[in-house]
Amino acid sequence: MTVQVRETQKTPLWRNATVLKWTAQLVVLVAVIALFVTLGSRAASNFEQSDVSFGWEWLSNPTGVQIFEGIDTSPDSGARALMVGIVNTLRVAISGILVATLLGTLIGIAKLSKNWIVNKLATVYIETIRNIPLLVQIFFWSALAVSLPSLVAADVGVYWFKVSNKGFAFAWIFTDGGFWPWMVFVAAGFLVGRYVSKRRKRYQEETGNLGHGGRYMAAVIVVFAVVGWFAWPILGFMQPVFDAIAKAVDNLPPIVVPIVFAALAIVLSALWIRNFFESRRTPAGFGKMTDDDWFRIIFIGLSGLVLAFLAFRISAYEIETVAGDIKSVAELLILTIGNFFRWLAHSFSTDNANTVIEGIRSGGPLVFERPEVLLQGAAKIPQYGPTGMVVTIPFFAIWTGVTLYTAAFIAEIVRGGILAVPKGQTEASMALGFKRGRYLREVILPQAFRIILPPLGNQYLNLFKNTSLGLAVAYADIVAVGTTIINQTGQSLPVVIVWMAFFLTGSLLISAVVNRYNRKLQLVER
Amino acid sequence: MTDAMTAPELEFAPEPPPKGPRIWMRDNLFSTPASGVMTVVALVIVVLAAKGLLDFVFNPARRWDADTYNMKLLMVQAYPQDAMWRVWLTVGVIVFLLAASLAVWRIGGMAEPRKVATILMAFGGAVAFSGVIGPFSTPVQASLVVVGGIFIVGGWALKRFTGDNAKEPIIPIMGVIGILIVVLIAVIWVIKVPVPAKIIDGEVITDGAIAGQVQGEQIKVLRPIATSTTSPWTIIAALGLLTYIGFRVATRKGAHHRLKRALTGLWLLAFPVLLLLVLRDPYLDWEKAVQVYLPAFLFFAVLGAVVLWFVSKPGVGEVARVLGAFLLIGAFATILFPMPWVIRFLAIALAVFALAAPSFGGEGAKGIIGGWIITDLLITFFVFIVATESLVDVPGAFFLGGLSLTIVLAFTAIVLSFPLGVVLALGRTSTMPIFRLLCTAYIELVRGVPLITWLLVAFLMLPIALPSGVEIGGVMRAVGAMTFFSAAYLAENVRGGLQSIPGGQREASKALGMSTLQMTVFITLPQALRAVIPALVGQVIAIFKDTSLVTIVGLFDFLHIARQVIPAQSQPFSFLGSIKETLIFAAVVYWMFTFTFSRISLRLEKKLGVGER
Repeated sequence: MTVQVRETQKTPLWRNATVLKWTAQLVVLVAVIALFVTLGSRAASNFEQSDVSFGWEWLSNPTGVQIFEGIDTSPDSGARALMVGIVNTLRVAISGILVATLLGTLIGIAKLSKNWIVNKLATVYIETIRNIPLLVQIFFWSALAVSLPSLVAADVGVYWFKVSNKGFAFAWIFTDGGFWPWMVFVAAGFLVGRYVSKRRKRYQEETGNLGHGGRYMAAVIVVFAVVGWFAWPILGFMQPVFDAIAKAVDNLPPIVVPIVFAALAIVLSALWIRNFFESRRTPAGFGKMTDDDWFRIIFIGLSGLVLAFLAFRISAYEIETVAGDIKSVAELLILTIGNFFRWLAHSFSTDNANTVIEGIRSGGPLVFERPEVLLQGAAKIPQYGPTGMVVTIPFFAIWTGVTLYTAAFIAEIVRGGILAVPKGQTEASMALGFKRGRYLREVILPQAFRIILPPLGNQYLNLFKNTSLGLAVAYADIVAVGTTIINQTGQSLPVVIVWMAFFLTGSLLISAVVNRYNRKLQLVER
Repeated sequence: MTDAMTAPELEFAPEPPPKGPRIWMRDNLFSTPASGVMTVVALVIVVLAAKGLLDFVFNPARRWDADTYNMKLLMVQAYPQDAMWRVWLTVGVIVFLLAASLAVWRIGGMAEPRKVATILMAFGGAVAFSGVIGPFSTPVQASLVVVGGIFIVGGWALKRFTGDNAKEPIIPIMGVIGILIVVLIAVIWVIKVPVPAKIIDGEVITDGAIAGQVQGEQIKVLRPIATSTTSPWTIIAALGLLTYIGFRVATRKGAHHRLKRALTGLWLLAFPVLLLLVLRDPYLDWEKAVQVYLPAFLFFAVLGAVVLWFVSKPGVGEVARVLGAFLLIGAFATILFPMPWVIRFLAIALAVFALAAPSFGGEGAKGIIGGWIITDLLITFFVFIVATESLVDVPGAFFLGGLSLTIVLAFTAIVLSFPLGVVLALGRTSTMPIFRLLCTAYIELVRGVPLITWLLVAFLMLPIALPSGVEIGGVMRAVGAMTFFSAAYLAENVRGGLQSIPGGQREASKALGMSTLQMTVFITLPQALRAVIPALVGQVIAIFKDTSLVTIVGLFDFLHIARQVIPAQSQPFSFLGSIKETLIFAAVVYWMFTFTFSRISLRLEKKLGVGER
């Protein structure tokens, strides 16, 4: 029997799906690139006309930016000013995330309470806060704080807690000269404690007796911390070591920097491509690659090369430093790394034990301070002194705003997560005679946490991004500092690039941490 | 089967569970000692918070007249007084459409008398409670307690007289809302609001035009709401009620698909027509219309009809696609040559129609040609009315401000970001790598950076990147930034929906011989969108709240007027420093909008059964 094979017709080009798809994609890609090139060149020519050329000199030049609060109120360079803004943003974000999580969890549980009035209070809180724009709330807290009584001459003195329209001042613990050596002790205590706790866990598994791993670990850490509190000066021998490292780094030739980065980029992309090939390998040899797979390989390979090229280009870029000499980026990077080791050497110096700042802070890892109201300046204006923690009005407004706002959303997430735990778990723990507090803590919340974590991470991202509203109440966060720099120097594009880099890095970091925990918490399923 | 389901007969009915306030309190407030402690603590919080709130609100130093006197400023900013009928017409049209839709779609079910009674009693209790702890004079306190008592007794009586029916849903919710509206309208005719006044020669002057010219002690007096506000509201409310009743009676029988379709079309048309034609009051240059727009319309109508008739003929097949692609390239090439914008828009629209026609045209070309003529007409008309100047005489650059600007910003951003978001979501889930890469990069880049940064980019950098001579107004820039921003979020929502569709749906549509485009438009997208409606409403709420950010870049939205304009006002009456009053008013208004939306979202969630599997 003969099978008649029809002559295969060649598909015309305009009906070939692969050709059509790739043509469309390439056309769109070219159009997008063309759009950006047009806008970019237009911006460049407009820049030239307005006497402001795109550049990064402002990073190292004095910008004349005055900052209301932060680690440095009159920074000597644009980079330093941005640094102050970043630290301010992180202060709000980190403390806000901690408090919002606690408050949100409490309110979420309260909303599930069987107690009618507690339940209703939680509902009112959530429905009020969630439905009013955050900006309105931030303005409201600011207006409220501004209308507080002002400091008068009669207020002079030392306080535990003081409220006025200059801000909230309260007693607080600060780090001091011996902090970093002491932290080494604490970290060592943590590592040893973890080892001990693992041993105790094994003991519990083997014998069935309670191991009390957590308590042992806490005890070990406390012992290390107490010993370190007095013994930290013995780490003083680290100072010459770090000094030597700093010197060695200073003597590195600048060409090392781009070589290291370029090698890293190329090796990483090569490794990725090799792993990818390996993952597609079947017992019969290499698996079949789809268009998509080839695209990925080409893309990663190209990115590696582009990054390597960029490493050389950026390293050679020369900028003028505050001191007035011209240095390449590579040299600056080496200098920064050297400075870091010098800072470490300084931190481990035993001289710190004798450092006394303004007669208040003395040697030792930590110091406890109370705020003071002083008459300052020639006009004898009552103001908070340098001691104690002073929360300014802008900080109070933005912090309270984002924290209470995010807490309302977290409360809803916690409530949903708890409700999603099967009811059988509750009934089983009640059957075992657990009290409400205990089964909530030991049975329900750990399981609910698995469901809560991904949306919780989203809320952390939102809180982090919402700190940028500090601009509206003149809180010196990175956006506010950036707008000031734009006003002073006209360099809008570079500042926007810095903003994006900062927020994207922060978002990536938060989602990386959340994803890591998420993977750890997931049930292992087959 | 049925035997197993019936319960065994009981000799005695089971004793009903004990009821009463004491038992309720034992179960809900003092079930355990810890619960009792919490109850006491919570009660203290409630009393202190309520007392603080009442003391704050009814403090004589509060300048609530900053809100009542500046109500027009807060709503429409400087819209000219003699053109206010345009605003009222807009409100009237929206109320008409709302009432008609409520009636035609039969929204609003029945409520249980027990629930209504509980609400009445809770309201009465709150009134009486605030009468007791509030900072009022004794007669006011007594009357508040009495009013509260009347409500409590009314609620109790309702529960009592409905008896066994108390748990049956028998009270129509729309009827209750109707009564509430009538009561509200009656109230605004008699209620008195605080207005600022100046005492000049022992005479109380409330007229700003006179008071602005003289110095004098400023006081607050209570005056009825002006008839320029009360009469339009009364007419609009009456119109709304009549419309509802009329449509309800007219549509008593049968499904009214045509009516529903007509109403949907009216809703879609209402926004651009009301905003661009009624509120904006454009200068209609008929001469130019005859010279440019009419020929353009006619030319594209004829050209489109011919092209679409050709491409939707069965058997033309791939040639139609090639033709469509050439049309699209030609349409985008028009950017390179100077010509009226209307031609560019029409060319692009025609190319899209030509590309879509083979997939959606079906058997006859009649429908698609009709659709093209209507689109042609609408595009020409809107370009015609947008391209001219506004005749509304306002000092600022944009003819709206205050709450109306906030609503316009939110609505435009939502409507514009929706198609963009859907396209981005399709791109991100597409199998084509470059599209996927571009869409993913866009979504992640936009979402990773806060909205305020994008607004600053639009206000600080856009002017630099635009070709010289092209200027985009502040409101348009804010709309653009918010559209691009919310599109990224919408795309993620829609992607969730797209990923929730079982693969079998795609395989089935492929087996039926559908093209990818047909599968997306007729099979996957409708299901995906239906699955994420609650999330989309959530996004609408988020955008509405986010519009407040435009105050940072200096647009005169609702929040900007409440926070910056009114507290800085010193003439004709001084409201200096009244920021808390205006902010609270703004918060209440925002809250009412977002709370309504969130309730709608909850209802939709229940109705669609999303999340209950």
